[in-house]
Amino acid sequence: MSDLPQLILSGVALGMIYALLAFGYNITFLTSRTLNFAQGEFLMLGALVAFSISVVHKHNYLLGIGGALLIGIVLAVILERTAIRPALRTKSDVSWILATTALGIIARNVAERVWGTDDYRFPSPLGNAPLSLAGGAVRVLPQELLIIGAAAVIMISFELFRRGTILGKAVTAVATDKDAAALQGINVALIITLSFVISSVIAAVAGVLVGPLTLVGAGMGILLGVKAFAAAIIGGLESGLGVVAGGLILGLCEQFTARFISTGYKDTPGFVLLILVLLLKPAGLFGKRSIKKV
Amino acid sequence: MMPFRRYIPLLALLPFVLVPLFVSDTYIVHGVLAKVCIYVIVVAGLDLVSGYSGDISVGHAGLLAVGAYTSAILCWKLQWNWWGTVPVSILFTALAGVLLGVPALRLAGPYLAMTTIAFGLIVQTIVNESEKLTKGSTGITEIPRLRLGSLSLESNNFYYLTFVAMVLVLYLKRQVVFSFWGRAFEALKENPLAAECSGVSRYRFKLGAFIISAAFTGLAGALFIHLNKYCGPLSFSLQFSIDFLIMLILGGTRSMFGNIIGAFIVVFVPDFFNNIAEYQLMIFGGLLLFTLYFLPGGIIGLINLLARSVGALFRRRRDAVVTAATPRTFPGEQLSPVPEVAHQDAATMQLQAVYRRSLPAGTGSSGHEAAAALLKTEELTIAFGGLVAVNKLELDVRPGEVHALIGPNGSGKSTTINMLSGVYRPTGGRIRFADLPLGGAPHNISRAGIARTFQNVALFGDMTLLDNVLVGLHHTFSRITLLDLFTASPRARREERAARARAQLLLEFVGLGDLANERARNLPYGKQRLLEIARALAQNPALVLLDEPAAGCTAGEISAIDKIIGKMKAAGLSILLIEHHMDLVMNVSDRVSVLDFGQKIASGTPAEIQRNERVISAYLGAPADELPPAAAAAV
Amino acid sequence: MPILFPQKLFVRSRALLALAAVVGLGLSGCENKSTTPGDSSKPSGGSASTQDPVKVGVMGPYSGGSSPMGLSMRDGVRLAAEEINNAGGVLGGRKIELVERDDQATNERGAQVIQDLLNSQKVCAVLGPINTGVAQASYRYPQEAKVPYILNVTTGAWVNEHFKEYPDNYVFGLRANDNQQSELIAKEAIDKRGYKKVAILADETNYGQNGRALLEDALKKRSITPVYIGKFKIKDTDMTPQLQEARNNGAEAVLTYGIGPELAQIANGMEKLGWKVPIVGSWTLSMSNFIDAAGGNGNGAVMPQTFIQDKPPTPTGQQFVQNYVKKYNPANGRIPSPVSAAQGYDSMKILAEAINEAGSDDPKKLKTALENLQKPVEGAIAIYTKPFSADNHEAIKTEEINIGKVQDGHVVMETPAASSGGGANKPTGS
Repeated sequence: MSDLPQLILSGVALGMIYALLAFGYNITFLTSRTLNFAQGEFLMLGALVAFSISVVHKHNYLLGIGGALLIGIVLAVILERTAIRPALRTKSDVSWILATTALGIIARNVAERVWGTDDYRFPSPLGNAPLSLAGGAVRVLPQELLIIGAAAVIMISFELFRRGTILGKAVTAVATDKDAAALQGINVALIITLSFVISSVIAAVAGVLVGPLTLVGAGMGILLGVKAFAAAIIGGLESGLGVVAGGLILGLCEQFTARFISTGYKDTPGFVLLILVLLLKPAGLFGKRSIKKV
Repeated sequence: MMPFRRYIPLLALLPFVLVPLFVSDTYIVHGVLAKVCIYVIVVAGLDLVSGYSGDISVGHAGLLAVGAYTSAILCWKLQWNWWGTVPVSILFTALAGVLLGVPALRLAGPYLAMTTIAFGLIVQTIVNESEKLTKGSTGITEIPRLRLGSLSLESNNFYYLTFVAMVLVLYLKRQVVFSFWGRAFEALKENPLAAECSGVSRYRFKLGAFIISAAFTGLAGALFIHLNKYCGPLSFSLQFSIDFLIMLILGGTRSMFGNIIGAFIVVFVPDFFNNIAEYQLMIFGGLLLFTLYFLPGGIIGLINLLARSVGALFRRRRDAVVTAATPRTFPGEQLSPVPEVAHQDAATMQLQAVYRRSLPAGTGSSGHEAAAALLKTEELTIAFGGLVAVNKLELDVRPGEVHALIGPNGSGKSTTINMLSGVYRPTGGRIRFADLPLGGAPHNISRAGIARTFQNVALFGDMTLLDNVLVGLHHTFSRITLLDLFTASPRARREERAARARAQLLLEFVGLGDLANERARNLPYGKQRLLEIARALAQNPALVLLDEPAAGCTAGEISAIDKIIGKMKAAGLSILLIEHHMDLVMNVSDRVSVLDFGQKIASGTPAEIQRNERVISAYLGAPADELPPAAAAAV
Repeated sequence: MPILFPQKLFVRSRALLALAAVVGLGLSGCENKSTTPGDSSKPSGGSASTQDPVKVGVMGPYSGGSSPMGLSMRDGVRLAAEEINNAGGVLGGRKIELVERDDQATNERGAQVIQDLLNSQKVCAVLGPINTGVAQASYRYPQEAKVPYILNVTTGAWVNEHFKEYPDNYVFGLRANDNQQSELIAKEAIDKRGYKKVAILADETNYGQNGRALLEDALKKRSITPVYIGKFKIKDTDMTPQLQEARNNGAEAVLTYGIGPELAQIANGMEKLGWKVPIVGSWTLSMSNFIDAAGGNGNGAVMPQTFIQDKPPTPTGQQFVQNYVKKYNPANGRIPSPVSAAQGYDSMKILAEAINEAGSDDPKKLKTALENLQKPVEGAIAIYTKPFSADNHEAIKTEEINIGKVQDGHVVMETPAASSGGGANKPTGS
């Protein structure tokens, strides 16, 4: 079928959007066993800040990314201080899940008040003219290629950071054993804060990358946040590669279901797959199962 | 505990049934209060799962949809009377609860949160897409009017129905959580492994929590369609599931009034901020964060705290006289670790009376010399990946003997105990217990007659000492059904009383009788170990696996443990002991087996083992003949 | 023990702090006032103004996804109320007091706030809501309380359909309902433009699916079966599968029933696939979030339309647009949803006239007055002469609905009202 390459490409692009966002879940879950349910809202704020800078005030797109970076850091600190740290004390899953959700609700409302409730167009810096590939069989927006490339770059550079730098090794140490890491003189709290900063910055920058494809607005993050979360879980929250694979699986699953089964049930196979994966392999497709010592 | 006292809070609710007689505003009665009652039912169900059992559910709106649509479809398509649809709704939703609950058996935290989110979204998609059955997105408006005999239950009268349903559900919830079910939920939440090893079936009670929770939600669903005579898919959104969680946390978990306060706030507070509607979500999010940060017990926690403070203020004056007579000492500060001998001996005799367990046929008498082993492993092997942690272990424990298993760190002792208690599944070999093959989940092994303690103390820290032991006595309730609990049957009350008396006795046996109502986490370390032994004994075992019971204990505590082991032996129990304190081992053991690198290198009486060259070399890392005799003797 | 004490004190003081904050929050919420537009600008002078104000309920989503429509509607109502109050109010000097409630676009909230409006606030009429589901979950309360409920935006909810169950129908409609819209969409696409093969893309909400069903009926009358029917979800960002399927089935046009942002994704997706066929859809194609988000890709989309900001059909409409833009200063000078704003404005105007003619704010008398309005009302959309009658509660006639077209960021007239209602006309565009 001649449509197939196009369909696969749109599934991959969608999957990479999920993967970008899901990658942030992976980082904080490794260090703190928690993650940010407001990740979608952070993406939204990153996108809207960049929208204000690059589109409303007509500055450079890169300056917009810089703005998103900054807001990502600010948000991470707020998040870590108000939601994660208190929740870590209570050691209850419900409490951090709800605390970050609450922060998401607040973030959405703030965005509605600042930017209004509408969705806006965020013109791509690379233009909106689709490129024809493979002799016209596939048409792709330059922004989609940018997202696929950027997702790869972000993930590879994080892996390099983790393996090649002393700080990165500290992150791995905290992920493996908090107490042992603390005994080695690693400032565990700082590493956790750092992981949230990285995660939030990735989300905010993802917003700038995704915005030109999806429209930007206060409500843009909700669904993306949930889908990205599903992608992370399918692939395995503790595996960077798994998160990407999860995103791709979910994106392709959606597009193929919509095309060949039913547009109404578009999301369902992905979710059923998620439940099945978890029942058969609780750590996700690419997660490693650890043996708990008694 | 006075059985009557526990119903006082429920009775305190009853006057509220009269509200419609004094308030005619249908907005207050039908618009707010009836809705609150329905939401309370859902929140009470959610509380069982998330508050007591500790599993997060972000899918309860999906369950509510199942209940609502079941009732609505039966009313609309099959022209059923609504009252007839209620049991069907409850049943269907309970079945859906199984689907929602199965992932909870294996998952926790964000993983479980995501599967429940997925469950809710799938249900919403199905009702939206099944147009023939549900009218799709249009929703069902053909909801019949509600009557009871000649009484119309519309408008404000609807409140009576929802109120009665709410009180019923709150009553049922109380009956469940103030029973061995509630203890099982809490134990599984605090330490699933310890709970399972104490005889609590994770399978049954985790799923049970979800099923009861879903059944409540099914009832709420059947009522829900009458609220606005409308049942449409948009109602049952992810946000709605989150709202229920917010109600639960805001009000305070594990509290009837907390459930009510939470539901009331979420329903009513938005009406409070009408003039700043655009900022409502901000206020709400702030309120939630504030609660999580400052009020971990929710609003009801704050109220309780204030009530206690005020109460303490009044009591202080009175207590000033009393405290002089009875000084309160912190448990850990007691000088003598073991209560008076006379007291304890009485307890021991009681223990013997209660615990003369009739052993399965074929194991012979409980004498030391009996040839037939109570526990026997044949070529027991376990490998983690390429690492063989225990290799072809042959071990036997005879009835009534104390058998010590020693060896250097990492030699596979704890791993052996984990296999024997069902925590790890052996990769090879067999275990025979009382001449029958042994296997299965930890709670089955506990039932078969093997109890254990843990190297790293595994208690239920937030539960009282008495409740910790009662979890061990879980097996004594095997004949009590949910129906017994719901109806507070004499049998259920009798069993509960008997178990409590027995638990108290066991606490006295280990010398913790006067701390029965203290929380386990407040105990000093050594006493926690004693509590673990009491919990193990509660399981009515024939064999107790003690995993380093004296680790980290003071000399005084070790001697207490020494005595207790002696008494357990006197009561006819068999013991497999792992221990590094050689004095203790040599003192109490009848036989000793030594492990090194997963293999048994020696077995015999304590005296034989002390002379065994391989043992000495294993401990000191050198062939025995190269060691000076003094070093060998020191082992 | 002494060490424990300060900690306890700390806990207690934290708890007290918490209590203080909760009480404070409660108190701040207590100033639960409603707005009396224009009241401040004109201090009370006459003796009549000391009378109680006339309370009118306004409900819609003021936050969340459909709030562009909700807020436009509310602002339209506010504008009308302010003008009325500045001109001396109703019933010889009584002010209109708007009691605004956010239904958050959810059915349950909608049902709750309307009970608040009816039973606690005792409003004489309710204006709103936006979402079909909210209207369907809330209509029975005004029906039973016998208070007029003027649906001024939602197009899917029932109005005249209620006569069967409630002969004393208190629900009125001031919107181009979905029967009319779907008929006009079919007329534009099939009768006028002569397409034979069309695809329908509709969102999965009550609004989209109800519209989709009506659209299918309207096509059936013309012996046309859509070549493809696709669904999408709110906030979907990629429409590739749906568009591929439509293209493969040879659709000559895409008929849409959804709201702005997703419609824009359809237009953008078509551009990406390099497949350009006309979009004909419901009035939401005129929302600013469609026009902006689709940019050049939205050009040529046509939709039934009661009110076009750039070309108001009445002098009052021109005035209305000026005042709205001056007062609320919307982005790019464009009302987020001109249709919602204008219909909100007109619903308030009609209601005020009915109050005056009834000589009372008694809801039952109001209903009778609405059904027998004597004087014409100059609204933004039309001059209404006898908009309602005892057996017809729909104010807007199919003949009054224009067909608009998106052109370079604005909605322009494609087929004026009279001819679009009247029958085939020569196409004026491409």
